[in-house]
Amino acid sequence: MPAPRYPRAQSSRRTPEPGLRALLAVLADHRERLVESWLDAAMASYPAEAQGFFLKSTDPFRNPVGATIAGAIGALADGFLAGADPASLRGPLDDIVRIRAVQGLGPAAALRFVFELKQVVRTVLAEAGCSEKLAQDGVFLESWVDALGLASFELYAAARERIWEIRNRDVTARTYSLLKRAGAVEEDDDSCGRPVTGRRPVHVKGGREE
Amino acid sequence: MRIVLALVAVGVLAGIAWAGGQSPAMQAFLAIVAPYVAIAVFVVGIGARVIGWARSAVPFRIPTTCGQERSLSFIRFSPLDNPSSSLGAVGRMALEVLTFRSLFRNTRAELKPGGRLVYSSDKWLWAGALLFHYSFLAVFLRHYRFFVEPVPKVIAVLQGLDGFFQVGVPVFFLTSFGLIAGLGYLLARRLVDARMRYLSLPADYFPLFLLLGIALTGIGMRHLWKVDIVRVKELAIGLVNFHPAVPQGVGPLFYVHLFLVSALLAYFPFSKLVHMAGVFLSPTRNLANNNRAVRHLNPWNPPIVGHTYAEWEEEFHDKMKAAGLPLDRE
Amino acid sequence: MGHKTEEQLLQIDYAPPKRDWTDPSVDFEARKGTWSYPGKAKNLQYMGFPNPRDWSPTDADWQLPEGWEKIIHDGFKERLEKYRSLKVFMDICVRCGACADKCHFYIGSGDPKNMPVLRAELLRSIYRQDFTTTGKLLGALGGSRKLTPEVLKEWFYYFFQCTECRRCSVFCPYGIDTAEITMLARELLNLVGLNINWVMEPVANCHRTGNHLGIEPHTFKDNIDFLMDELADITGVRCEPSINRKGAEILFVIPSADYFADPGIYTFMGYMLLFKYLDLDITLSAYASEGGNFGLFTSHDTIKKLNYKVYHEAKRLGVKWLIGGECGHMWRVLHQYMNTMNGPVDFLEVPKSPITGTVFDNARSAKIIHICEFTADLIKNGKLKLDPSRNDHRRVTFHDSCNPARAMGLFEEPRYVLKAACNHFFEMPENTIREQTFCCAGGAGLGNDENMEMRLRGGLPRGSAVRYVRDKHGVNTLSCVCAIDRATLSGLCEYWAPEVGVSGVHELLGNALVMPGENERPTDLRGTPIAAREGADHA
Repeated sequence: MPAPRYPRAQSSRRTPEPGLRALLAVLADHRERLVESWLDAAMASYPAEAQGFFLKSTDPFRNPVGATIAGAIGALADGFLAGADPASLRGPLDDIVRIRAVQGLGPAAALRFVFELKQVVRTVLAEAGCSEKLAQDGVFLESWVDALGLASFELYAAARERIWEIRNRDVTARTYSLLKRAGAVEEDDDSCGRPVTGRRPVHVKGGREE
Repeated sequence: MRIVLALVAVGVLAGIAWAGGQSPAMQAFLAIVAPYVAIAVFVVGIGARVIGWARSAVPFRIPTTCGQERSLSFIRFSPLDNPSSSLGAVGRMALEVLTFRSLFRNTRAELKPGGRLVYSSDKWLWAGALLFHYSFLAVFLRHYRFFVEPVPKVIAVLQGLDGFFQVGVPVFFLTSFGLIAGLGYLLARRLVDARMRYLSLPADYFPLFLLLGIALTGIGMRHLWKVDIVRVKELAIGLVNFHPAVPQGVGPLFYVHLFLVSALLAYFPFSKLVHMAGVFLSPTRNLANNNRAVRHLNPWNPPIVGHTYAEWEEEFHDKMKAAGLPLDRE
Repeated sequence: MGHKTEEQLLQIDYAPPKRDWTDPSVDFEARKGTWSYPGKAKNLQYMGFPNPRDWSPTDADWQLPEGWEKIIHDGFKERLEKYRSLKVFMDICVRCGACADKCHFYIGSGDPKNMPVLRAELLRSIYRQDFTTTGKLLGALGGSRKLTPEVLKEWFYYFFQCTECRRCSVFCPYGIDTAEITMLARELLNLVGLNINWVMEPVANCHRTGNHLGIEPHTFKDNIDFLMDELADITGVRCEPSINRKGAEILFVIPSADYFADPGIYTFMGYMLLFKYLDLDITLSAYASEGGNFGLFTSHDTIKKLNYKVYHEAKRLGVKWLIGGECGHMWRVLHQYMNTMNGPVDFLEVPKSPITGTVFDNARSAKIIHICEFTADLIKNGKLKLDPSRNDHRRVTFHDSCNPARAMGLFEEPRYVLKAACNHFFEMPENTIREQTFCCAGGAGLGNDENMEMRLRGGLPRGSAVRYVRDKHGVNTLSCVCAIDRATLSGLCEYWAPEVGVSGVHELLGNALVMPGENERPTDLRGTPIAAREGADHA
């Protein structure tokens, strides 16, 4: 399922080797299988009754969890197959992580899917009878997944931090005019580059500095 | 587990009838006693259910509004999805009961490359439910031909339409196929979808198996192991005229069919199948959305008084005075 | 093959355990962020609610009162007789699953007990056991469960995880309304002292002071004065709304967040500009200073008790009719309950716009109209001078709030106002608006911060649709007619669709309304430069 939200993954210009690696060349022929197994692995953290629903419907509004994760996994897989720099895949990675950061999964279960790629690749290669490619390009797989994993830690932590920011801001917003009248809030006058309509950044005096 | 249970229950019922159909004593029970008891239970049971619901009050007017309200003259409102009168509410109920309006609402959006949204209908449940219910109705009406002589014109016409394609001898009815297909679909979705499996109870499988049993034995008698229709009709007319006699030589399959029907009738009032009657009493569907125009009365409206203005002013009197707010009591 | 042991280590227990739904256990400790703090004893005491005590859902013993089983059983029985809705909904569900994927909490979480059918089944299983012969005879086989403390805990968890948005009811072939089931389940829970503080505190405050925040009348006045000062700074127009003025033609009832919370205060400014523009004979009340009614999330008796003040104040002030401001659940009460509960109001007159002469026949009995009905009529009759270009920095979409949508059918009036006040208006995808609108996931008392994770989970469907129009049309403003929306959608957008802000409809009207004697208005009501967007585009 192509994810219209992401630009088509381009082969990274920074890929050091000329041409695709042996590993990726084989895997590219089995893209569908790779994406499907990776998606299944990602979905395994949900209750069985929900997996069917998440996987079945591609409606991005009726089933945003499934549609977003499926789209983003596809984009990540394309990025991997193109040998793209994991840092360039923060968009789709963030889309998945942001959802899983509020699903009560805990960091390990939420981010496990990144590391599942190793097993998925092994399985796909084994099925294709090409396990030996791993010997050649195993290091690439390991380091690619590690880099994506590290990026996912950052995004997860950022998402969780954002939740706390929202909680803080909610408390201020609730009695905003009272606080303001009492001179208890300072407005951040530095609106340059800020969204024109998003929530104003405010600091409660004596409160935690953001 | 829940599925097996339901299947076994239907199997046991069928087994009893199959065995009983071969013993004269039991034949009388299956052909005469069971149908009468079942019909009595059905009529009394459904009646009791409806009266039970009707005795509960409808304290508030709480329609779920699914369209624009009637407000300003230049804004078009939805008389059927958001009725402003009782007539509109009747129309809404009719749409619901006859066309399963709410199930029809299911739509699915798909995001195409480039961000284009495409809507498609997701109407399988609607279609499956409609197929089953209308087929069942037609089959039910067709059976009327067993109970009267001569067969009324309407029933003959219905039967003619139903056998329109003239396939098989005797003619295979479309609705027989529709009934099986509808039931099959409703059963399959409960089995295939993990979510449906999770929420389904034996009470969801049991009526499906029961109806499948009835339909299959019925089709079996018509097409495969033919039953002496004349004898069956004698029994049916006898039952209607309260002069029933045990029919001779109709075979055990007929008893299975009849006993499962009896079981269905007797089971009906105690099960979710009462939705047939209950749907008409649903306050979110059968009321007009006009509570600002016409006051709805709550028969048990409790005499609750809130915090009165006088009590409130009493508490804040001095502060209000200082702030220059008007006061009732200086 | 050397990988095997490592893989085995990785294979452990991430998949949730397979359990039958009849198992009621909920691990509150592990699910922090998805439940709300319980009602404080002082609030229960103030309202005279049973079993006030301090407790936590993570406690093993919830300190239920003596004989709680009988209390629940008798309470259930009483409600089956008083509410046909409950009795019918308990009996006729066929578990077809049409509702299953319609709940925003299920969509966002995948927790199967958030499927509306199962949420109802939590109650229905007890109903079968206690009130049906077959249920008693068949026991677990018939889908019955015994009422245990675990079941009550499960009720607490899941019935305070429903926002009473009624979306499932739209798709149900029998109109089974989970909002109704949740309301009655919460009534039962209240009988044994199980409720949440985010509901109980506003209820207690509202009863004492007239509003959720517990704002006393002098502070009410000070705050409005302060807002009017700000408004005068921005527009050069001084509005002087009257408070508790006897003999006014109209009483205006609004949610308290409109005069205290960000961004509700800008909507309030919009109302005040409109009334000033029309020189409308209208008054606010410091006593009826809250249209919102958290009784709706408590019990029917509490709704009636808290809503008493509205007509009571109308009568005391001698007004002719009422206008209600932008608030979702307030309108559920005003439209579907108030007339029945607190009426009849023969001392009022049928609402008639003094500006256009339009008679609001649809409110001829309850004598209260929605401000969007009022304003749409003004615009239609050409009574307002609007400069929509002053909203050109806003690219606007409209979020249908659950209650005005599915308990009233207020779809076109706010859109009519928005399209007159803004040049850039875009709809979200059709299966996420109007009667199919997705909830903000913070209604029904769940908009507190300890429940934030659940709110964001449930907010994902709405968030996805907002993000879609943000990406496709550059939408930066989500407008709505609900105070809870304005509070909770702000956080929701911050998480799911950053850079989209939330506005009331009358805030945008206030931006566009050309006031006699006004300043040059370089900014909108929030102080944001009107040309900001063009500037950004050119840069």
